[in-house]
Amino acid sequence: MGLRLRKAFLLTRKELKESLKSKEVILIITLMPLMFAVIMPLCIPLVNFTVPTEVFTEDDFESFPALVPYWDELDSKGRFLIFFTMIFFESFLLLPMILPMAIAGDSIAGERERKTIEALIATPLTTGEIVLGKLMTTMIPSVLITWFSGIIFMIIADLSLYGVIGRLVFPNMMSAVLLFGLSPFFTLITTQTMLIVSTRASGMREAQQLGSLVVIPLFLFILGETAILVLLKAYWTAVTSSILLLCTIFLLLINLKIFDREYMIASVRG
Amino acid sequence: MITMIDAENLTKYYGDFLAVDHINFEIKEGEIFGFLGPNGAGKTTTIRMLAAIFPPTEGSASVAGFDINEDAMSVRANVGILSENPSLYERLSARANLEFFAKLYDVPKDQINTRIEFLGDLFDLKTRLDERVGTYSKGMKQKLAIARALIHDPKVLFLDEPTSALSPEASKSIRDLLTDLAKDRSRTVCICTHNLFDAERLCDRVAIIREGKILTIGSPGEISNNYSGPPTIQISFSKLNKELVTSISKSEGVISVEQHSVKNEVSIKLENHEKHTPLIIADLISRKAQILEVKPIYASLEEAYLKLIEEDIINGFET
Repeated sequence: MGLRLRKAFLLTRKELKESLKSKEVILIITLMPLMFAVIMPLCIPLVNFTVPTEVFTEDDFESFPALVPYWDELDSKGRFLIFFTMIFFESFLLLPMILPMAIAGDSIAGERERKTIEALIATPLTTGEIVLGKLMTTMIPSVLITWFSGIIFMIIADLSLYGVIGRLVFPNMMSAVLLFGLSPFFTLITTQTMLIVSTRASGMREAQQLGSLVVIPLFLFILGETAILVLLKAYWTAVTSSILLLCTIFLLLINLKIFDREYMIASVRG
Repeated sequence: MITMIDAENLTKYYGDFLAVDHINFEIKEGEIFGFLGPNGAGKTTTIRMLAAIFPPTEGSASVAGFDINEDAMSVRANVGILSENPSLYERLSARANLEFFAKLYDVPKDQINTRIEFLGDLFDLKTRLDERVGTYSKGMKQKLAIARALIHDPKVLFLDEPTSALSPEASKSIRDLLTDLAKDRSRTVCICTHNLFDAERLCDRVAIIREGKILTIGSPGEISNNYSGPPTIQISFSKLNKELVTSISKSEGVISVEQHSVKNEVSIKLENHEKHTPLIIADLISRKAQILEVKPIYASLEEAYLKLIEEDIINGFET
Protein backbone atom coordinates (compact mmCIF):
# COMPACT_ATOMS: atom_id res chain seq x y z
CA MET A 1 0.00 0.00 0.00
CA GLY A 2 1.29 3.45 -0.92
CA LEU A 3 1.91 6.27 1.47
CA ARG A 4 -1.35 8.05 2.35
CA LEU A 5 -0.45 11.64 3.21
CA ARG A 6 -3.91 12.26 4.69
CA LYS A 7 -3.35 9.53 7.28
CA ALA A 8 0.10 10.83 8.16
CA PHE A 9 -1.38 14.34 8.57
CA LEU A 10 -4.05 12.95 10.89
CA LEU A 11 -1.31 11.59 13.11
CA THR A 12 0.60 14.88 12.89
CA ARG A 13 -2.45 16.90 13.93
CA LYS A 14 -3.10 14.66 16.90
CA GLU A 15 0.57 14.71 17.94
CA LEU A 16 0.75 18.50 17.71
CA LYS A 17 -2.40 18.88 19.81
CA GLU A 18 -0.87 16.56 22.37
CA SER A 19 2.64 18.06 22.37
CA LEU A 20 1.24 21.56 22.75
CA LYS A 21 -0.36 20.41 26.00
CA SER A 22 3.00 19.43 27.46
CA LYS A 23 4.40 22.09 29.79
CA GLU A 24 7.94 20.99 29.01
CA VAL A 25 7.47 21.32 25.25
CA ILE A 26 5.69 24.69 25.60
CA LEU A 27 8.47 25.96 27.84
CA ILE A 28 11.19 24.97 25.38
CA ILE A 29 9.43 26.25 22.25
CA THR A 30 8.74 29.63 23.86
CA LEU A 31 11.84 30.23 25.96
CA MET A 32 14.41 29.09 23.40
CA PRO A 33 13.20 31.36 20.56
CA LEU A 34 12.92 34.21 23.09
CA MET A 35 16.51 33.69 24.14
CA PHE A 36 17.95 33.20 20.65
CA ALA A 37 15.80 35.65 18.68
CA VAL A 38 15.17 38.45 21.16
CA ILE A 39 17.64 38.47 24.04
CA MET A 40 20.71 37.65 21.93
CA PRO A 41 20.33 40.47 19.34
CA LEU A 42 19.38 42.86 22.16
CA CYS A 43 22.90 42.29 23.48
CA ILE A 44 24.39 43.96 20.38
CA PRO A 45 23.84 47.53 21.70
CA LEU A 46 25.41 46.42 24.98
CA VAL A 47 28.52 45.35 23.07
CA ASN A 48 28.50 48.69 21.29
CA PHE A 49 28.30 50.64 24.52
CA THR A 50 30.67 48.54 26.57
CA VAL A 51 33.49 48.18 24.04
CA PRO A 52 35.24 51.60 23.71
CA THR A 53 36.07 52.86 20.19
CA GLU A 54 39.73 53.40 21.17
CA VAL A 55 40.42 49.65 21.34
CA PHE A 56 40.09 49.35 17.56
CA THR A 57 42.87 50.23 15.15
CA GLU A 58 42.47 50.51 11.42
CA ASP A 59 44.20 47.14 10.82
CA ASP A 60 41.96 44.92 12.95
CA PHE A 61 39.67 43.65 10.16
CA GLU A 62 41.91 44.58 7.22
CA SER A 63 42.51 41.00 6.07
CA PHE A 64 39.01 39.81 6.98
CA PRO A 65 36.66 38.78 4.12
CA ALA A 66 33.71 41.10 3.46
CA LEU A 67 30.71 40.01 5.49
CA VAL A 68 28.40 42.61 3.92
CA PRO A 69 28.59 44.35 0.50
CA TYR A 70 29.50 47.72 2.10
CA TRP A 71 32.28 46.21 4.23
CA ASP A 72 34.94 48.56 2.82
CA GLU A 73 32.94 51.61 3.82
CA LEU A 74 32.88 50.62 7.51
CA ASP A 75 35.31 51.56 10.23
CA SER A 76 36.85 48.94 12.49
CA LYS A 77 34.15 49.16 15.14
CA GLY A 78 31.38 48.80 12.54
CA ARG A 79 33.11 45.74 11.13
CA PHE A 80 33.56 44.34 14.62
CA LEU A 81 29.86 44.79 15.39
CA ILE A 82 28.84 43.08 12.16
CA PHE A 83 31.29 40.24 12.81
CA PHE A 84 29.86 39.93 16.33
CA THR A 85 26.27 39.95 15.00
CA MET A 86 27.14 37.19 12.53
CA ILE A 87 28.53 35.05 15.35
CA PHE A 88 25.24 35.60 17.20
CA PHE A 89 23.37 34.61 14.05
CA GLU A 90 25.37 31.38 13.82
CA SER A 91 24.53 30.65 17.45
CA PHE A 92 20.89 31.36 16.61
CA LEU A 93 21.09 28.42 14.21
CA LEU A 94 21.23 26.09 17.20
CA LEU A 95 17.49 26.77 17.49
CA PRO A 96 16.43 24.51 14.57
CA MET A 97 18.29 21.71 16.36
CA ILE A 98 17.07 22.33 19.91
CA LEU A 99 13.37 22.56 19.02
CA PRO A 100 13.13 19.14 17.32
CA MET A 101 14.87 17.51 20.27
CA ALA A 102 12.09 18.67 22.60
CA ILE A 103 9.20 17.90 20.26
CA ALA A 104 10.50 14.59 18.83
CA GLY A 105 11.49 13.37 22.29
CA ASP A 106 7.94 13.94 23.48
CA SER A 107 6.36 12.50 20.34
CA ILE A 108 8.29 9.24 20.01
CA ALA A 109 10.13 8.25 23.18
CA GLY A 110 7.34 9.95 25.16
CA GLU A 111 4.74 7.82 23.39
CA ARG A 112 6.50 4.66 24.49
CA GLU A 113 6.96 6.05 27.98
CA ARG A 114 3.23 6.79 28.21
CA LYS A 115 2.46 3.33 26.77
CA THR A 116 0.25 4.65 23.98
CA ILE A 117 2.23 3.17 21.11
CA GLU A 118 0.37 -0.17 20.88
CA ALA A 119 -3.01 1.37 20.05
CA LEU A 120 -1.36 3.35 17.27
CA ILE A 121 0.51 0.36 15.87
CA ALA A 122 -2.71 -1.67 15.91
CA THR A 123 -4.41 0.76 13.52
CA PRO A 124 -4.33 0.34 9.74
CA LEU A 125 -1.42 2.78 9.39
CA THR A 126 1.71 1.70 7.54
CA THR A 127 5.14 2.10 9.12
CA GLY A 128 5.92 4.78 6.52
CA GLU A 129 2.80 6.74 7.50
CA ILE A 130 3.67 6.56 11.19
CA VAL A 131 7.27 7.68 10.54
CA LEU A 132 6.13 10.49 8.20
CA GLY A 133 3.46 11.62 10.69
CA LYS A 134 6.04 11.76 13.46
CA LEU A 135 8.56 13.58 11.23
CA MET A 136 6.01 16.22 10.26
CA THR A 137 4.99 16.66 13.91
CA THR A 138 8.50 17.82 14.64
CA MET A 139 9.38 19.49 11.36
CA ILE A 140 6.37 21.78 10.93
CA PRO A 141 6.53 23.67 14.25
CA SER A 142 10.35 23.62 14.39
CA VAL A 143 10.81 25.09 10.91
CA LEU A 144 8.03 27.66 11.29
CA ILE A 145 9.25 28.79 14.71
CA THR A 146 12.85 28.98 13.42
CA TRP A 147 11.86 31.06 10.40
CA PHE A 148 9.67 33.38 12.44
CA SER A 149 12.34 33.74 15.14
CA GLY A 150 15.00 34.30 12.47
CA ILE A 151 13.03 37.22 11.06
CA ILE A 152 12.59 38.65 14.57
CA PHE A 153 16.35 38.22 15.16
CA MET A 154 17.13 40.12 11.95
CA ILE A 155 14.71 42.96 12.75
CA ILE A 156 16.06 43.40 16.29
CA ALA A 157 19.67 43.11 15.11
CA ASP A 158 19.07 45.71 12.37
CA LEU A 159 17.37 48.07 14.82
CA SER A 160 20.26 47.63 17.24
CA LEU A 161 22.94 48.23 14.59
CA TYR A 162 21.31 50.93 12.48
CA GLY A 163 22.02 53.66 14.99
CA VAL A 164 25.73 52.77 14.96
CA ILE A 165 26.57 51.95 11.36
CA GLY A 166 23.67 53.65 9.59
CA ARG A 167 23.09 50.63 7.32
CA LEU A 168 20.97 47.46 7.45
CA VAL A 169 22.88 44.19 7.97
CA PHE A 170 19.90 41.89 7.35
CA PRO A 171 18.62 40.40 5.20
CA ASN A 172 21.68 39.33 3.31
CA MET A 173 22.50 36.36 1.11
CA MET A 174 24.31 34.40 3.81
CA SER A 175 21.51 34.74 6.40
CA ALA A 176 18.87 33.90 3.78
CA VAL A 177 20.72 30.73 2.68
CA LEU A 178 21.37 29.62 6.25
CA LEU A 179 17.90 30.41 7.59
CA PHE A 180 15.61 29.46 4.74
CA GLY A 181 17.79 27.06 2.77
CA LEU A 182 19.80 25.07 5.29
CA SER A 183 18.06 25.35 8.68
CA PRO A 184 15.20 23.01 7.57
CA PHE A 185 17.88 20.42 6.83
CA PHE A 186 19.36 20.89 10.31
CA THR A 187 15.89 20.36 11.74
CA LEU A 188 15.30 17.32 9.56
CA ILE A 189 18.63 15.72 10.46
CA THR A 190 18.08 16.35 14.19
CA THR A 191 14.50 15.05 13.93
CA GLN A 192 15.59 11.89 12.14
CA THR A 193 18.38 11.31 14.63
CA MET A 194 15.84 11.77 17.42
CA LEU A 195 13.56 9.25 15.72
CA ILE A 196 16.39 6.74 15.55
CA VAL A 197 17.48 7.19 19.16
CA SER A 198 13.90 7.43 20.43
CA THR A 199 13.01 4.04 19.02
CA ARG A 200 15.87 2.58 21.06
CA ALA A 201 16.11 4.86 24.11
CA SER A 202 14.42 3.80 27.32
CA GLY A 203 12.68 7.14 27.81
CA MET A 204 12.29 10.75 26.76
CA ARG A 205 15.26 12.02 28.81
CA GLU A 206 17.65 9.40 27.43
CA ALA A 207 16.46 10.15 23.88
CA GLN A 208 17.07 13.86 24.35
CA GLN A 209 20.52 13.26 25.82
CA LEU A 210 21.54 10.95 22.98
CA GLY A 211 19.96 13.24 20.40
CA SER A 212 21.90 16.22 21.68
CA LEU A 213 25.11 14.52 20.51
CA VAL A 214 24.12 15.27 16.93
CA VAL A 215 24.08 19.01 17.61
CA ILE A 216 27.87 19.25 17.92
CA PRO A 217 28.77 17.99 14.41
CA LEU A 218 25.86 19.94 12.95
CA PHE A 219 27.00 23.14 14.61
CA LEU A 220 30.52 22.59 13.27
CA PHE A 221 28.88 22.13 9.89
CA ILE A 222 27.18 25.52 10.26
CA LEU A 223 30.51 27.17 11.03
CA GLY A 224 32.06 25.52 7.99
CA GLU A 225 29.10 26.47 5.83
CA THR A 226 29.34 30.11 6.93
CA ALA A 227 33.02 30.18 6.01
CA ILE A 228 32.18 28.63 2.64
CA LEU A 229 29.45 31.19 2.04
CA VAL A 230 31.83 34.02 2.85
CA LEU A 231 34.91 32.70 1.11
CA LEU A 232 34.00 30.25 -1.62
CA LYS A 233 30.46 31.18 -2.57
CA ALA A 234 27.89 29.31 -4.63
CA TYR A 235 29.65 26.20 -5.96
CA TRP A 236 30.73 24.89 -2.58
CA THR A 237 27.44 25.81 -1.00
CA ALA A 238 25.73 23.56 -3.53
CA VAL A 239 28.17 20.74 -2.75
CA THR A 240 27.73 20.96 1.02
CA SER A 241 23.96 21.28 0.70
CA SER A 242 23.93 18.11 -1.38
CA ILE A 243 25.85 16.35 1.39
CA LEU A 244 23.16 17.47 3.85
CA LEU A 245 20.46 16.20 1.51
CA LEU A 246 22.15 12.81 1.21
CA CYS A 247 22.48 12.61 5.00
CA THR A 248 18.76 13.32 5.31
CA ILE A 249 17.80 10.61 2.82
CA PHE A 250 20.18 8.13 4.44
CA LEU A 251 18.68 8.81 7.89
CA LEU A 252 15.14 8.44 6.50
CA LEU A 253 15.99 5.02 5.09
CA ILE A 254 17.47 3.98 8.44
CA ASN A 255 14.33 5.18 10.19
CA LEU A 256 12.02 3.21 7.93
CA LYS A 257 14.18 0.13 8.45
CA ILE A 258 14.50 0.27 12.22
CA PHE A 259 10.93 1.31 13.09
CA ASP A 260 10.11 -2.19 14.28
CA ARG A 261 6.51 -2.59 15.45
CA GLU A 262 7.34 -5.64 17.55
CA TYR A 263 10.29 -3.98 19.28
CA MET A 264 8.27 -0.82 19.95
CA ILE A 265 5.64 -2.84 21.81
CA ALA A 266 7.98 -5.27 23.50
CA SER A 267 10.05 -2.40 24.90
CA VAL A 268 7.06 -0.74 26.56
CA ARG A 269 7.39 -1.38 30.24
CA GLY A 270 4.26 -2.77 31.83
CA MET B 1 -21.67 -20.61 11.02
CA ILE B 2 -18.83 -18.65 9.41
CA THR B 3 -15.32 -19.18 10.76
CA MET B 4 -14.01 -15.77 11.78
CA ILE B 5 -10.61 -16.80 13.09
CA ASP B 6 -8.72 -19.81 11.85
CA ALA B 7 -5.23 -20.28 13.28
CA GLU B 8 -2.89 -22.92 11.90
CA ASN B 9 0.38 -23.76 13.62
CA LEU B 10 0.62 -20.23 14.94
CA THR B 11 4.07 -19.87 16.48
CA LYS B 12 6.06 -17.02 17.94
CA TYR B 13 9.66 -16.90 19.06
CA TYR B 14 11.19 -13.92 20.87
CA GLY B 15 14.83 -14.64 20.14
CA ASP B 16 15.29 -18.18 21.46
CA PHE B 17 12.24 -18.02 23.69
CA LEU B 18 9.22 -19.88 22.36
CA ALA B 19 6.22 -17.78 23.40
CA VAL B 20 3.53 -19.50 21.31
CA ASP B 21 4.01 -23.08 20.22
CA HIS B 22 2.25 -24.23 17.02
CA ILE B 23 -1.30 -23.63 18.17
CA ASN B 24 -4.39 -24.46 16.11
CA PHE B 25 -7.95 -23.32 16.72
CA GLU B 26 -11.05 -21.93 15.07
CA ILE B 27 -13.42 -19.28 16.33
CA LYS B 28 -16.86 -18.82 14.80
CA GLU B 29 -18.79 -15.66 14.04
CA GLY B 30 -20.73 -14.44 17.08
CA GLU B 31 -18.68 -16.54 19.46
CA ILE B 32 -17.09 -15.26 22.66
CA PHE B 33 -13.81 -17.08 23.02
CA GLY B 34 -11.48 -16.84 26.00
CA PHE B 35 -7.79 -17.48 26.39
CA LEU B 36 -7.02 -18.55 29.95
CA GLY B 37 -3.60 -19.15 31.34
CA PRO B 38 -1.00 -18.07 33.85
CA ASN B 39 1.22 -15.03 33.29
CA GLY B 40 3.59 -15.52 30.37
CA ALA B 41 1.48 -18.33 28.89
CA GLY B 42 1.36 -16.67 25.47
CA LYS B 43 -2.19 -15.28 25.54
CA THR B 44 -1.29 -11.67 24.76
CA THR B 45 1.22 -12.66 22.10
CA THR B 46 -1.47 -14.79 20.45
CA ILE B 47 -3.98 -11.96 20.21
CA ARG B 48 -1.28 -9.54 19.07
CA MET B 49 -0.47 -11.89 16.19
CA LEU B 50 -4.16 -12.33 15.40
CA ALA B 51 -4.66 -8.55 15.41
CA ALA B 52 -1.73 -8.31 12.94
CA ILE B 53 0.23 -6.06 15.28
CA PHE B 54 3.23 -8.22 14.52
CA PRO B 55 3.68 -11.32 12.38
CA PRO B 56 4.04 -14.90 13.61
CA THR B 57 7.43 -16.60 13.31
CA GLU B 58 5.73 -19.65 11.79
CA GLY B 59 2.21 -20.60 10.82
CA SER B 60 -0.63 -18.42 9.75
CA ALA B 61 -4.14 -17.34 10.60
CA SER B 62 -7.09 -15.91 8.82
CA VAL B 63 -9.00 -13.22 10.70
CA ALA B 64 -12.28 -11.79 9.37
CA GLY B 65 -11.41 -13.36 6.03
CA PHE B 66 -7.93 -11.83 5.72
CA ASP B 67 -4.58 -13.53 6.13
CA ILE B 68 -2.47 -12.01 8.94
CA ASN B 69 0.74 -12.57 6.95
CA GLU B 70 -0.48 -11.53 3.51
CA ASP B 71 -2.93 -8.74 4.33
CA ALA B 72 -2.10 -7.37 7.76
CA MET B 73 -3.57 -3.93 6.92
CA SER B 74 -7.02 -5.37 6.16
CA VAL B 75 -6.87 -7.45 9.33
CA ARG B 76 -6.05 -4.33 11.37
CA ALA B 77 -8.88 -2.41 9.69
CA ASN B 78 -11.41 -5.10 10.62
CA VAL B 79 -10.48 -5.77 14.23
CA GLY B 80 -10.61 -3.73 17.40
CA ILE B 81 -8.16 -4.28 20.20
CA LEU B 82 -7.87 -3.41 23.86
CA SER B 83 -4.27 -3.99 24.85
CA GLU B 84 -2.80 -4.67 28.29
CA ASN B 85 -2.49 -0.91 28.83
CA PRO B 86 -5.44 1.34 27.94
CA SER B 87 -3.06 3.22 25.55
CA LEU B 88 -5.01 6.47 25.75
CA TYR B 89 -3.75 9.97 25.04
CA GLU B 90 -4.19 11.41 28.51
CA ARG B 91 -3.52 15.02 27.55
CA LEU B 92 -6.43 14.95 25.11
CA SER B 93 -10.14 14.71 25.81
CA ALA B 94 -12.01 11.42 25.46
CA ARG B 95 -13.77 12.87 22.43
CA ALA B 96 -10.46 13.81 20.78
CA ASN B 97 -9.15 10.28 21.43
CA LEU B 98 -12.22 8.65 19.88
CA GLU B 99 -12.30 11.09 16.96
CA PHE B 100 -8.64 10.44 16.12
CA PHE B 101 -9.10 6.68 16.00
CA ALA B 102 -12.42 6.98 14.12
CA LYS B 103 -10.60 8.90 11.39
CA LEU B 104 -7.70 6.44 11.30
CA TYR B 105 -10.20 3.60 10.87
CA ASP B 106 -12.05 5.51 8.11
CA VAL B 107 -15.36 5.86 9.92
CA PRO B 108 -17.44 8.08 7.57
CA LYS B 109 -17.19 11.75 8.62
CA ASP B 110 -20.93 12.19 9.11
CA GLN B 111 -21.07 9.18 11.42
CA ILE B 112 -18.18 10.00 13.72
CA ASN B 113 -20.10 12.20 16.16
CA THR B 114 -23.08 9.83 16.29
CA ARG B 115 -20.73 6.94 17.01
CA ILE B 116 -18.90 8.86 19.75
CA GLU B 117 -22.17 9.90 21.40
CA PHE B 118 -23.47 6.33 21.17
CA LEU B 119 -20.36 4.87 22.81
CA GLY B 120 -20.29 7.68 25.39
CA ASP B 121 -23.84 6.77 26.29
CA LEU B 122 -23.14 3.03 26.31
CA PHE B 123 -20.17 3.36 28.64
CA ASP B 124 -21.69 6.04 30.81
CA LEU B 125 -19.06 8.59 29.81
CA LYS B 126 -21.27 11.00 27.91
CA THR B 127 -21.11 13.85 30.41
CA ARG B 128 -17.33 13.65 30.59
CA LEU B 129 -16.44 13.16 26.92
CA ASP B 130 -14.92 16.62 26.67
CA GLU B 131 -12.71 16.27 29.73
CA ARG B 132 -9.05 15.38 29.63
CA VAL B 133 -8.51 11.61 29.90
CA GLY B 134 -5.81 12.28 32.51
CA THR B 135 -8.58 13.27 34.93
CA TYR B 136 -10.40 9.92 34.49
CA SER B 137 -10.41 7.11 37.06
CA LYS B 138 -8.81 3.76 36.16
CA GLY B 139 -12.21 2.21 35.47
CA MET B 140 -13.28 5.09 33.22
CA LYS B 141 -10.04 4.79 31.26
CA GLN B 142 -10.70 1.08 30.78
CA LYS B 143 -14.22 1.80 29.52
CA LEU B 144 -12.91 4.48 27.16
CA ALA B 145 -10.27 2.07 25.83
CA ILE B 146 -12.99 -0.48 25.09
CA ALA B 147 -15.07 2.26 23.44
CA ARG B 148 -12.05 3.09 21.29
CA ALA B 149 -11.74 -0.55 20.25
CA LEU B 150 -15.39 -0.41 19.17
CA ILE B 151 -15.28 2.97 17.40
CA HIS B 152 -15.23 1.44 13.89
CA ASP B 153 -17.69 -1.33 14.76
CA PRO B 154 -15.15 -4.10 14.05
CA LYS B 155 -16.09 -7.62 13.04
CA VAL B 156 -13.66 -9.09 15.56
CA LEU B 157 -12.82 -7.68 18.95
CA PHE B 158 -9.67 -8.64 20.91
CA LEU B 159 -9.73 -7.68 24.56
CA ASP B 160 -6.87 -8.21 26.96
CA GLU B 161 -8.24 -8.32 30.53
CA PRO B 162 -11.34 -6.25 29.71
CA THR B 163 -12.76 -6.15 33.23
CA SER B 164 -9.54 -5.53 35.13
CA ALA B 165 -9.75 -2.32 37.17
CA LEU B 166 -13.52 -2.23 36.89
CA SER B 167 -16.05 -2.19 39.70
CA PRO B 168 -18.45 -5.17 39.90
CA GLU B 169 -21.26 -3.10 38.28
CA ALA B 170 -18.99 -1.87 35.51
CA SER B 171 -17.67 -5.43 34.96
CA LYS B 172 -21.20 -6.67 34.62
CA SER B 173 -22.11 -3.95 32.15
CA ILE B 174 -19.04 -4.86 30.06
CA ARG B 175 -20.00 -8.54 30.17
CA ASP B 176 -23.56 -7.67 29.12
CA LEU B 177 -22.27 -5.46 26.33
CA LEU B 178 -19.94 -8.15 24.99
CA THR B 179 -22.74 -10.70 25.11
CA ASP B 180 -25.00 -8.31 23.17
CA LEU B 181 -22.27 -7.68 20.62
CA ALA B 182 -21.76 -11.38 20.06
CA LYS B 183 -25.32 -12.65 20.22
CA ASP B 184 -27.32 -9.76 18.75
CA ARG B 185 -24.78 -8.31 16.36
CA SER B 186 -22.79 -11.43 15.42
CA ARG B 187 -19.48 -9.88 16.40
CA THR B 188 -16.69 -12.25 17.37
CA VAL B 189 -15.11 -11.48 20.72
CA CYS B 190 -11.81 -12.90 21.82
CA ILE B 191 -10.66 -12.18 25.36
CA CYS B 192 -7.55 -12.89 27.40
CA THR B 193 -8.25 -13.13 31.06
CA HIS B 194 -7.12 -14.36 34.44
CA ASN B 195 -10.63 -13.83 35.70
CA LEU B 196 -12.18 -17.30 35.64
CA PHE B 197 -15.47 -15.93 36.92
CA ASP B 198 -15.70 -13.73 33.82
CA ALA B 199 -14.62 -16.55 31.54
CA GLU B 200 -17.23 -18.91 32.98
CA ARG B 201 -20.08 -16.44 32.60
CA LEU B 202 -19.03 -14.82 29.35
CA CYS B 203 -17.27 -17.30 27.10
CA ASP B 204 -18.90 -19.83 24.82
CA ARG B 205 -15.57 -21.64 24.65
CA VAL B 206 -12.20 -21.20 26.29
CA ALA B 207 -8.69 -22.34 25.50
CA ILE B 208 -6.40 -22.99 28.43
CA ILE B 209 -2.83 -22.12 27.52
CA ARG B 210 0.41 -22.82 29.30
CA GLU B 211 3.94 -22.20 28.02
CA GLY B 212 2.61 -21.33 24.58
CA LYS B 213 0.65 -24.58 24.15
CA ILE B 214 -3.10 -25.06 24.20
CA LEU B 215 -3.85 -27.64 26.90
CA THR B 216 -7.56 -27.88 26.14
CA ILE B 217 -10.37 -26.14 24.29
CA GLY B 218 -14.05 -26.40 25.09
CA SER B 219 -17.02 -24.77 26.75
CA PRO B 220 -16.47 -23.90 30.42
CA GLY B 221 -18.99 -26.64 31.32
CA GLU B 222 -17.23 -29.30 29.24
CA ILE B 223 -13.85 -28.41 30.67
CA SER B 224 -15.21 -28.46 34.24
CA ASN B 225 -16.77 -31.89 33.70
CA ASN B 226 -13.79 -33.36 31.93
CA TYR B 227 -11.23 -32.23 34.46
CA SER B 228 -13.10 -32.18 37.76
CA GLY B 229 -15.26 -35.29 37.49
CA PRO B 230 -19.06 -35.56 38.02
CA PRO B 231 -20.98 -33.07 40.15
CA THR B 232 -21.41 -33.31 43.90
CA ILE B 233 -25.02 -33.82 44.99
CA GLN B 234 -26.15 -31.43 47.68
CA ILE B 235 -29.27 -32.28 49.71
CA SER B 236 -30.92 -29.85 52.15
CA PHE B 237 -33.23 -31.12 54.91
CA SER B 238 -35.62 -29.35 57.23
CA LYS B 239 -34.19 -31.57 59.97
CA LEU B 240 -31.07 -33.70 59.73
CA ASN B 241 -29.96 -36.43 62.13
CA LYS B 242 -27.03 -38.84 62.37
CA GLU B 243 -29.07 -41.86 61.25
CA LEU B 244 -29.91 -40.24 57.96
CA VAL B 245 -26.25 -39.39 57.31
CA THR B 246 -25.21 -42.95 58.17
CA SER B 247 -27.83 -44.43 55.87
CA ILE B 248 -26.72 -42.18 53.00
CA SER B 249 -23.10 -43.17 53.49
CA LYS B 250 -24.07 -46.85 53.30
CA SER B 251 -26.06 -46.40 50.07
CA GLU B 252 -24.87 -47.86 46.77
CA GLY B 253 -22.36 -45.83 44.76
CA VAL B 254 -21.54 -43.33 47.52
CA ILE B 255 -17.88 -42.34 47.60
CA SER B 256 -18.07 -39.82 50.42
CA VAL B 257 -20.57 -37.82 52.45
CA GLU B 258 -19.86 -34.50 54.03
CA GLN B 259 -22.23 -33.04 56.58
CA HIS B 260 -22.35 -29.27 56.95
CA SER B 261 -22.17 -28.35 60.56
CA VAL B 262 -24.33 -25.22 60.50
CA LYS B 263 -26.86 -25.91 57.77
CA ASN B 264 -28.94 -29.06 57.55
CA GLU B 265 -27.14 -30.10 54.42
CA VAL B 266 -25.02 -32.95 53.10
CA SER B 267 -22.73 -33.04 50.08
CA ILE B 268 -22.42 -36.46 48.46
CA LYS B 269 -19.82 -37.65 45.98
CA LEU B 270 -21.15 -40.49 43.84
CA GLU B 271 -19.63 -42.95 41.42
CA ASN B 272 -22.38 -42.17 38.93
CA HIS B 273 -24.65 -39.31 39.89
CA GLU B 274 -27.28 -40.02 37.22
CA LYS B 275 -27.71 -43.61 38.38
CA HIS B 276 -27.23 -43.30 42.15
CA THR B 277 -28.99 -40.00 43.00
CA PRO B 278 -32.57 -41.39 42.46
CA LEU B 279 -31.73 -44.43 44.62
CA ILE B 280 -30.56 -42.29 47.52
CA ILE B 281 -33.58 -39.98 47.28
CA ALA B 282 -35.96 -42.99 47.24
CA ASP B 283 -34.24 -44.41 50.31
CA LEU B 284 -34.44 -41.07 52.14
CA ILE B 285 -38.16 -40.73 51.34
CA SER B 286 -38.80 -44.22 52.66
CA ARG B 287 -37.13 -43.09 55.90
CA LYS B 288 -39.51 -40.12 56.01
CA ALA B 289 -36.70 -37.60 55.67
CA GLN B 290 -37.97 -34.04 55.11
CA ILE B 291 -36.07 -33.05 51.97
CA LEU B 292 -36.11 -29.36 51.04
CA GLU B 293 -33.83 -29.33 48.02
CA VAL B 294 -31.64 -31.60 45.92
CA LYS B 295 -29.15 -29.99 43.56
CA PRO B 296 -26.07 -31.03 41.62
CA ILE B 297 -23.04 -28.81 42.28
CA TYR B 298 -20.78 -28.76 39.28
CA ALA B 299 -17.10 -28.08 39.69
CA SER B 300 -16.18 -24.54 38.76
CA LEU B 301 -13.98 -23.69 35.81
CA GLU B 302 -11.48 -22.49 38.38
CA GLU B 303 -11.14 -25.97 39.88
CA ALA B 304 -10.76 -27.53 36.45
CA TYR B 305 -8.29 -24.86 35.40
CA LEU B 306 -6.13 -25.30 38.48
CA LYS B 307 -6.22 -29.07 38.13
CA LEU B 308 -5.26 -28.89 34.47
CA ILE B 309 -2.40 -26.47 35.03
CA GLU B 310 -1.16 -28.54 37.99
CA GLU B 311 -1.28 -31.76 35.92
CA ASP B 312 0.60 -30.06 33.11
CA ILE B 313 3.29 -28.86 35.49
CA ILE B 314 3.66 -32.39 36.93
CA ASN B 315 3.77 -33.92 33.44
CA GLY B 316 6.37 -31.35 32.51
CA PHE B 317 8.54 -32.43 35.44
CA GLU B 318 8.06 -36.11 34.65
CA THR B 319 9.09 -35.71 31.03
